Amino acid sequence: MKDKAYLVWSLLVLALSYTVPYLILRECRDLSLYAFWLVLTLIHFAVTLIYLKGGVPWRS
Amino acid sequence: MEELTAAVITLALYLLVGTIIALLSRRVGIKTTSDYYVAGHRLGGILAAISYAATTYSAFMMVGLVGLTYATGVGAFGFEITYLLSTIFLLSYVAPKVWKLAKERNWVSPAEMISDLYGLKPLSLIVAAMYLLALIPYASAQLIAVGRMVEGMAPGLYWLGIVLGVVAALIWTGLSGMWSLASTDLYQGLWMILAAIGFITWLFLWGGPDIASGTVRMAEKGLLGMKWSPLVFVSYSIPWAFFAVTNPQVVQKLYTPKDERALRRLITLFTLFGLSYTVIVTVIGLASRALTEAGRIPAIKVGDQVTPILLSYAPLPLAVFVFTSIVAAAMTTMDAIVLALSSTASRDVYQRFLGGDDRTAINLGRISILILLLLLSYVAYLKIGFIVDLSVLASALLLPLAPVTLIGWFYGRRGKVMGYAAIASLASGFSIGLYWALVHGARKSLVTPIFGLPSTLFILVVSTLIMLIPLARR
Repeated sequence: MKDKAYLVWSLLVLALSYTVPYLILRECRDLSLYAFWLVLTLIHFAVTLIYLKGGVPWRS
Repeated sequence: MEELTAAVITLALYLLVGTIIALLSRRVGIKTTSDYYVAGHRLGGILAAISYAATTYSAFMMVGLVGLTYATGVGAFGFEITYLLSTIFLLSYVAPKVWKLAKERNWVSPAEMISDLYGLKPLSLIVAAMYLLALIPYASAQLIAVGRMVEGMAPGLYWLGIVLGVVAALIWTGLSGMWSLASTDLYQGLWMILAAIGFITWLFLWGGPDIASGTVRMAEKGLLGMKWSPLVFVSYSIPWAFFAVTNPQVVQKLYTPKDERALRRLITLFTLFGLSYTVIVTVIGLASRALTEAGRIPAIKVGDQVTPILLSYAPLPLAVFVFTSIVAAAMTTMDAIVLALSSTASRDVYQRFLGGDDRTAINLGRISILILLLLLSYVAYLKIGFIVDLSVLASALLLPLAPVTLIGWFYGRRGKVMGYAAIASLASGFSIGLYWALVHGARKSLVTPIFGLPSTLFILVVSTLIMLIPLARR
């Protein structure tokens, strides 16, 4: 179950990283786009840490 | 003269310390090809993590990516960060499975892994041929970068850079295989990140107010928004998104951690290294462009010249330190590719097909490292322009390995039909990539769509569909 949730989460993150820059931040005139990708990566990293450290029985 | 002396001293120090580290790693006993090529699956987490990161991040970062960010703005950060996002996911989701299987089945080379997953021996030779064709230009481009960096510090001594690069690679890789490679990678990885921190600190101290005013002008030109077209963004980022699965020099690193804790540490430390290095490098690129917009430095037409021009303003010790870090980045990537290709020669060809013993296989591996390095040095010495172009293609040509490897990891060993589908998938994807490169040229082929789809996405879809047909019929 946790594996599936992490898979869905990761695909969502990747989808956001490709779409948001074109749909919302294409014409931005400040560092929002840079901040978006940076924060997205930090959140993804935090979720990954929880996935890895949360006693998850790793895929076998 | 002062510059030449500083360059020679720094390079000599860098090479000397690396060689001492490689010599010390000899203390580890090496009896089997598993010991030699994957450190007997006994690497600690820190060593495995920094080695993975140093192998991944080549000279492209501090030279190519800085230039790309300078020219195209924030979009270049997105291109590199999608690689990291995808790799975090791939490493966390599939690496544990790969690591377990590698230990159980004693995998040493990635080509061996694929042939084992599909139960088809000849598959390893096909994969090995793909690796050779795709990675020789990529590794040569790294050696060319070493030569150019040495030439940049000591004009006219391009050849010396090639010779030093080959000799160092021979000692650092050939001596104790993965043990000496990972140990020197750790040392070079630290050199890379420390130099990057030093570079960005100096840049902001030197150009602070101008960077701020230049950034406002960059915003007016749209460089803070998404200037990359969707076609270019997808075409460039797709091969990199699957880099962790398709490139043997990093796949092989997944076999090395000694236990689950070490593997977890590999994933977390690699992510921290990758994110820090990517942010520093792209901020350097953006700050350089801001300095141009503010009139502090001249406009730079050739992307690869941004870092060298910027460093011409830096204090000499820092400039030499950063140049040497670029040599280190190129060396770590080249060393790992050479070791991965050598493992194919000694393990896949000699041991698995001819049934050779471990000791001879290791010696054969060392000879193949020497031959590969001589080949790379010859190509690098000729400075053939299209070699660098072909190196851009490496990840695209290896892209068909993504569905074959991923499906193999999850649905492998399901009869020979799947193995034949894998051969068809690899042949089709690789041929399309090569044909498109021959028709349009290496660089342009990446951004020339096929039937309306970005070319790399088309290759990925075709290779995946061929793999899914037999899977769906079962």
